[in-house]
Amino acid sequence: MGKLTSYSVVIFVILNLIISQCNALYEDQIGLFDWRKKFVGKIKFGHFDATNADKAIIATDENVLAAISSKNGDILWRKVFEKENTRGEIKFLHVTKNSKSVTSYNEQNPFDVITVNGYNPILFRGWDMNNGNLIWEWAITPTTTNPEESMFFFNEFNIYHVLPVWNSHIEVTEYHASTGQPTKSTSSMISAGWINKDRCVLSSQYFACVVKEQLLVLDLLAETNNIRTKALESPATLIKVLRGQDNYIQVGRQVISLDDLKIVFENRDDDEVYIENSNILKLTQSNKNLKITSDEQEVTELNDLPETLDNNLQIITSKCKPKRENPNQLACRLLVSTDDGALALIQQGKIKWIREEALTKITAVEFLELSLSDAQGAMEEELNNADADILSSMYRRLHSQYSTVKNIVLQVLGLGAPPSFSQRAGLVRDDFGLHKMMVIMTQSGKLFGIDNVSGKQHWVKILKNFEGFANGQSAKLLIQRTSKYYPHPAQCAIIAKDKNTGNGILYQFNPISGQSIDKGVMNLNFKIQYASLLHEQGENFLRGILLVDDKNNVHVLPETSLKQVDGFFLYTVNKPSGILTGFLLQYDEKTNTANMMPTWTVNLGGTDNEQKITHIASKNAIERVHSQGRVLADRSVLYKYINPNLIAVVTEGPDSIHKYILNVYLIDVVSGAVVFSMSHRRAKGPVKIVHSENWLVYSFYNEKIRRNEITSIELYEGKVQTNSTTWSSLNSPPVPLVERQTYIFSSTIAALRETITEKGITNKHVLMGLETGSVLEMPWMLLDPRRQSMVPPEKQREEGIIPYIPELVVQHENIINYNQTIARINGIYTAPSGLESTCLVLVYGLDLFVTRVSPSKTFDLLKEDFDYFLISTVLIGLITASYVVKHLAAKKTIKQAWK
Amino acid sequence: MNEVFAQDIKIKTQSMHVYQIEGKVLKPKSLNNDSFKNMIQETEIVINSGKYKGFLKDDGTFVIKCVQPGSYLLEVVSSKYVYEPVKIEINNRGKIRARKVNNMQPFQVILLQYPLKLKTNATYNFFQKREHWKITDIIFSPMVLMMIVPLILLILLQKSMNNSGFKNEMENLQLPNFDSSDNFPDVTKMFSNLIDRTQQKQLNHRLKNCIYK
Repeated sequence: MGKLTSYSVVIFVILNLIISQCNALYEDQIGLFDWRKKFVGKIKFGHFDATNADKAIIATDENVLAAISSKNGDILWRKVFEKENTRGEIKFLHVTKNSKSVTSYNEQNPFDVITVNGYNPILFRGWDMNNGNLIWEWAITPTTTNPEESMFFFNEFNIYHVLPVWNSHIEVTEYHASTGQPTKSTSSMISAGWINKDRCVLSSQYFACVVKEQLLVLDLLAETNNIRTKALESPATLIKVLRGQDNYIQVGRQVISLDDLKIVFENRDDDEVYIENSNILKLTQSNKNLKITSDEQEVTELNDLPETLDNNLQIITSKCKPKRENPNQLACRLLVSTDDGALALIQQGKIKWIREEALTKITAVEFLELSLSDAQGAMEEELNNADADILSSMYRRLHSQYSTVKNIVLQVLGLGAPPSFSQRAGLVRDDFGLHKMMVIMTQSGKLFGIDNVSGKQHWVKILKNFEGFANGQSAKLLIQRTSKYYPHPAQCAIIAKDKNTGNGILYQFNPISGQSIDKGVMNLNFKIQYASLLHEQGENFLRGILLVDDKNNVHVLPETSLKQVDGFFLYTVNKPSGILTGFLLQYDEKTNTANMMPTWTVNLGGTDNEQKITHIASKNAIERVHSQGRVLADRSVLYKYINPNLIAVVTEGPDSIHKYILNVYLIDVVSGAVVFSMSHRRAKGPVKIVHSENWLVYSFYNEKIRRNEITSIELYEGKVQTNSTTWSSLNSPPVPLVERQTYIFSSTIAALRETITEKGITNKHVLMGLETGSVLEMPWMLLDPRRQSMVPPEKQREEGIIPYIPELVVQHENIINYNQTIARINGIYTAPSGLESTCLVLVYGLDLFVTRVSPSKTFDLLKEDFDYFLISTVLIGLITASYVVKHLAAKKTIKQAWK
Repeated sequence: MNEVFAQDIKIKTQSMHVYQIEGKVLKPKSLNNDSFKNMIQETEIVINSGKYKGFLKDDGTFVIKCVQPGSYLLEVVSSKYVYEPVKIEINNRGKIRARKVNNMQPFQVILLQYPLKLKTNATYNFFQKREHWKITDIIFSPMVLMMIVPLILLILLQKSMNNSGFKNEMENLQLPNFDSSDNFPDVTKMFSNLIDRTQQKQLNHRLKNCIYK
């Protein structure tokens, strides 16, 4: 035992030495090249605080409760509930309207903010409005079949749980809000056979339903359950609760007050209606123009509505008071939200701030290099014609110099050509390629162009009727051309599904300026089964888009590139059944069509199709592998098995003996060969996986020992390389040697990603997003499957291999986002920069975090703490010293000559 | 109607057995009451990485309601203070125990106090210390030491030679009729003189012979 501990101490010391080599941040680098933006999600409920409306309490569809400053839109505090709706979904939010009780709470007024979360159990909580701390909490476990239908309302000190059992009865239970004590011994049952799921609403204490041509209203607080009815002019289909004041609903186009069942407003144009203090605010939106009126009196008008808000604006909450100069008119502070989740505050006809809450649901990201500056572009143009003769080159050279001089003179005089868009916006490529444009696609179809250095949002585009594909596949964001091909601008494409028809949508745009190319959104007349870029560039360096429709017809855009699909291999996956199918595309010259030929099928479903495909990991298409092998202790080379066609497929499923089984397959998608497979018993997800170069790393939960584990696999060809120039999956490639190792990891991993650099010379680290909100940079050295538990004798010891210890320790220095935690990490995106040492990182989830990492330290850049002062003093000192010494020496020789 | 209620009762019996996990996050010693409130604002209790969540009251207490029997990992998520995770086990009869987490030896049981009292033992250290340039670093670097020490020795030796009668002795040692064109004393000779006078004399004779041959 003693031997063992001393052994582990030695290992620990070695480990520490290695880790200490690893690069961590310095404290003064905070915020130097990283930034974080916090979000809350699309608003569901929102209220201003009662005293002076300087903050808004909001509840969102991301199950977040937050207080937002009215001044600048900052988050004052935020509470993130469980992601799963059974416990986390916010069902009800009450913010006290009595301004006296806001600052202090006591037994009489024991609450500022009340939330009700989830349906099984239902959690009731009271919060302190000022700091967001919890004041009281209680829960009930509902005992009925449909607890998710629960509705709630608040009255005086009590909270009421209303549970409709459709076509039967309503169950109402009354609780004392702060203690959770039921005020009556039983809940009251109100039989109401007329209630119907889609035609009933609850507005405060009134339960209102539309039944044929009648509106039936039930007062749940009344002692006797008498139902009031009101005849409607025509059978209405729409019934909804209006935001703002309680007890107002809209039935069809009529706004009805539930207190007296009077029609208070006729909404003829079907606009958005909001009620505040019996004032009806009507919101009309057309063509970038927003008008809010009350009783034909204008409250607010915005003529140049920004594009980001141009998506079904709704008033969430307001605070109005009569204007001083004209008491008939209202001055309002309005909190508005769009369909995609953009939240804005409008006051005095101005937009004070906008929050882009669509960014909580990012589905795809690309980093794009910026375009050249005007001067660089001119130079590029000059060098472009390589095949010209000497004279014309000479002419071009002189001409470009002349135009440069001319431009300078004109610029000085203020007569020059106006700078290009990117020049004006500061979107110009920098020396090290660290400044890029992040193109972000969100679930709602809102696109963003965000600067990765400043975090500034340069453009936004809303795609209407946009939807992701079936089986949880998001829409596709493809880069057809990067910014490298001056003068051609970069071009991206988005392929999605039309919400209404189910057909494909194609949108092509310039990712730097955000402008659409050609016709803008193109509606395709077929459903998309498969979409990808072609491998080769076509005309103008543009890569074509390959689309396969649901009838296996091949489409290529632009159509002139159809020839290029010949010999294109592709595969499709049926996730639920676990079947992968490979296809080969062939171009038929006679008919000018391409057809798809199935080449192989692999069924990973297992017996009874219990195994479902949960993850597919392919390698990054832009990845380059610099080093082809690994030098062993005896100076021989072990060559890596680098197969670009290899994908990893994870299947999970239940098992009668082992409870859960998790399988991992490595499949060559050109030949359909299963190169390697592994099976983990009693292991289940969530699986996170990353596949790069010749290795694979994945994390899973070991159900047997109840801990998280990480497995790493490395593939080697052996000591001889079969073909060093080209890889062919069809010429019976070698069976790889497999190294594997599993490690224990104490945290749960929410996202995995490898770092990537331009040439692949820099070491690869694995970035791990943890559920706790940290992002850990794990050196590959620690995950290396060649780590052995037996320490080999000195001669056989390989370079850079540390002895195996089962647990991977989270080193706090390796947390790249230090204390800037990111709530609910969903994914990590990495992109190479112009510097070989540096990799750009975007972590997204509920929050956004952008930073850069340099896995092998910044070897190609002077350190920022480089001591310029020291080196210059030393240099100056040496120069002066040498002059002084020279002078002295001369003196001495003269003296000696006189002797 | 009756059917509905029969179903209700069935579900009621199934979902009866839920328990609550209680505990308290203790105030770190370095904080006063106000800053502890701020810390509470940014701290949350997470069970099984987000399956259940708990929120702290002003005094640091928390209750996680309606937890089914099972084994859970409870973590305190704070961006500043490090808390050790705790394993919570609830059996079917509702008995709750708290254990230390040991991933390496999962069957080793070290019980902790329940209701939980969570104490912090450290703050996170995310940053590397920047090395500042100091004059002492240069002076004590081995290269400089190697250069400076012999230099000092040389000076000291010379001084001591000047001071003592050593120099006179040395002069005596030198042979008078040496070639005067060279002002510098022959080092080899000097040292060999020191070693053995008699031998030296013989050697000198021989050398002389050699030179003047």
